[in-house]
Parts: sequence; C-alpha cells; structure tokens
Amino acid sequence: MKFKNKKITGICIILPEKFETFEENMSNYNFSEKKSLKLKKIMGYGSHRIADVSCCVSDLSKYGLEYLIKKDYIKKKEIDALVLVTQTPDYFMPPTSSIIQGLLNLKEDMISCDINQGCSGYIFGLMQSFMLLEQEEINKVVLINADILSRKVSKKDRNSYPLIGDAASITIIENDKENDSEIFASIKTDGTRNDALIIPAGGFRLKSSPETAVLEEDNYGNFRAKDHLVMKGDVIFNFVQTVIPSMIDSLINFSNIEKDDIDYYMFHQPNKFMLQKLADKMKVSQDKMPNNIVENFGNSSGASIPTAITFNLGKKLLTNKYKICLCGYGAGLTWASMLINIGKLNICEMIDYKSELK
Amino acid sequence: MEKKVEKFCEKLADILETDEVKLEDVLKDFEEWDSLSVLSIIAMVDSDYGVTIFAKDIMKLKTVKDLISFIQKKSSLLTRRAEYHGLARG
Repeated sequence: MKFKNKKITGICIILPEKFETFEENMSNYNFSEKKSLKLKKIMGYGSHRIADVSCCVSDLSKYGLEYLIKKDYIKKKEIDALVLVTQTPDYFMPPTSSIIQGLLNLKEDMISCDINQGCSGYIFGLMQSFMLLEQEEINKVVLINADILSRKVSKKDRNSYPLIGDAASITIIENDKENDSEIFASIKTDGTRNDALIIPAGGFRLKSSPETAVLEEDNYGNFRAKDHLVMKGDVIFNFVQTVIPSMIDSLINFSNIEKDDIDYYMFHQPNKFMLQKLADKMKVSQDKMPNNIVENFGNSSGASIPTAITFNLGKKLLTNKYKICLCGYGAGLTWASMLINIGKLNICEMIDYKSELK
Repeated sequence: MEKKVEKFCEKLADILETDEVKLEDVLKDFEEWDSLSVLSIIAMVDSDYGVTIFAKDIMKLKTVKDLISFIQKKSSLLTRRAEYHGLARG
C-alpha cells in the first residue's frame, strides 16, 4: 500500500505515574529468586508503568489531549477525526472514542471510531488516519493508541506480568500538499493462530463468572484464570522470527528505498530478547533498532512504537527528519509495517498521568 | 561424539548453566529446566540451525538425545525440501 501527501506533526506519550519494579513483583512468581533474576537479565525487565484501577483508556486520553490543547499544539475545532486503537475499552458499548469526544466537548462535525487491534495497532491506526485524510473535509486526525492491559494479566504469571505496561500515545496526522514523498505500508493477518494471544473469558463467547476467575496452574508453574491474558510465548517468538524479516524485505523492495538509507527501525517492544534476535536475523545493527522500552516502561501494546520513537529520539525529531521503518506484530495474529519519513514535529514528548489532577 | 552433536551439547549446557550435558541426561531433571530455557533452546535452534520448533514438541521429548534427533529430523526435512525446490527450479 502507498500513501502520499500525509505527515505526522506531533507525538505525545501519556504514562501512568505509578510504576512497579521486577524485583517487587518477583515474590508473586512461583520461581526461585535466582531463576527470576536470570529471566530479568535475558528478557531485559526493569520497571513498568501500571495504571491505577480508577484509570481507564478515556482518562489517559483525555489527560493527553487536554495537555495538547492547553499548550496549543492542537485546537479543538481542528480535530476532524479521532481514531482510537485499543483492546481495553471503557465499555463494550459505546465506543470509547465517543466518550473521549464527549469528555473534551469536541465538535459534532467529526468522525470518531474505535479499532480493536493490539501490538500492530499503531500501523493500523496510521493507515486508517491516512485513509480518512483522503477526504476533502478531513485535514487533521488525532490517533490515540491506548491500553491498560495490566489489569487483564495475572500477577502470578511470570510469562506476561513482568513485561506488561500501560500507556497512551497521541499522534497528530495531517495532510501535507507540499510533501509528495511516499509512505509504504503492509498489513497481514493469520486468524488461524488467534489463540496464541488471547483473553479467553469476558466477551460474549465465554462470559466472566466465578469459574473463569479461578487461578489455574500451567505446565511451567504460572497461575492465571480464564479472565486473564494468556500468551503462547514460543508460538509468538517463532511467528515473529519467521514472518517479520521477510515482510520488511518485501516492503523495502516495494519502496525502492535502499536498506542503508533507513535511519531507524522502530519496532513493537515485546521484550529485549525478541528484538535482539530479530535485529540479528535481519542483520540490522542494534543501535538502529532500540529495545529499551520494556525495561523502562513495559510493553504497552499499540502505544509501544510511538513510545520507542519518543523515548529514543525525542527532541531530535523537532529539528531533524529520519527515514523510519515501523513494525508491529501480535494478537490476531496480525503483523504490519510502514516506511515513513518522520521529523520536524511540533511536539515529541512524554508526560506523566497524575490521577489527582483528573 | 560427532563434532556437530558436541557443539550442540556445549550450547545446551550454556543455556542450562551446567558444566556438560550427556546424551542420556533427562531434560526435565536439569535444575535450570523451565519455560525460559525452553524458549532459549527454540531461539538457539532457530538462529543456528534455521529450524523452527515449538515448546509443546520439546515437552514431549525425554532425553538430550531425543532433542538432538528431533532437531536433526526437522533440519533434514528442511534440506530435502530445499534440494527439491532447487531441482524444480533447475
């Protein structure tokens, strides 16, 4: 897929103030301290941001949008569309994007929609935003990627709890008539492996009940309930190592861009181990592919790519411009990638969400 | 012991943080045998031998020897498939 005359003009990351460290979580796991510390070292775990139970996706989103409006990075009346990508909506009904639109008193003459995607969600959101911008009436889109998945992960699950993190990202996307450099993208789906990353209960197929809340032990000594997220780590690992390198090769071929001209590979951040193996396999130097988000903030699903961009490039993006390869992969299974020039932004910042100021 | 097998055993010993592994050693009896070591084996087999294996397959195997034969079988299938495609292209 190709897009033209579009640009990202701002990125803002909203992180819950509260964090937990791997060491303080360690006693919840059914493993010796030695084994847990080995896991920490190999996977690159550190501290991760966890939202308070009172904090939902709309709270993080409202906080960030109000900040952008107050600092005049965007005006309310300019927002022609609001795209929210989340797997942890406030309610099943109505869409959380409507809640955000209402909380901020945004104009009526706008499109708001939710997209249910996980770790590929940044690319899905960008593509949806670009497609909306094809319409004459739409000049500015606000893309929000937000998830509070920590609440759906068992504290006794060493497989998933150490890496999970909550966050929201806001990306402002606009038409750019003067810039005709192309944006290349690719999205793929394999629904046959939909159980590799799943929350079995809580939807309409299997509703939450006292039975689905019972913790059960798996083959490796992790405890989780059917209400919790369960990930087949080995399936996901093999999936990523198999499909991603070839997807990126095809995208580069399709774009006619030289691989050496790519400045950064800002990939979804599941853990350090996975990214290191991926960089090796793709023969990309590790300074071009940052893997430091999980150890600092946790894996925040769709918000992890913009977090990687902002944490690693930050202010540099206000003045410079880089050719960046984005890539996300996860629940679905879906995987998606994009080659895009990002730079000369109006804002590229991380802010802390403080619940008392709500 | 064959050179390739010897090399594999060294890598396995590294993952399992032990001095040496013998062919008849039972996988589950290693102190360091857990989901992390299983994933490390999967990653090592992928990067060093280009073979994709899954945790559920590994869990069915008993000894180091079983693990080696399993990977060998997988990798020879891969070679044969590559040869076939090579011939088909030629």
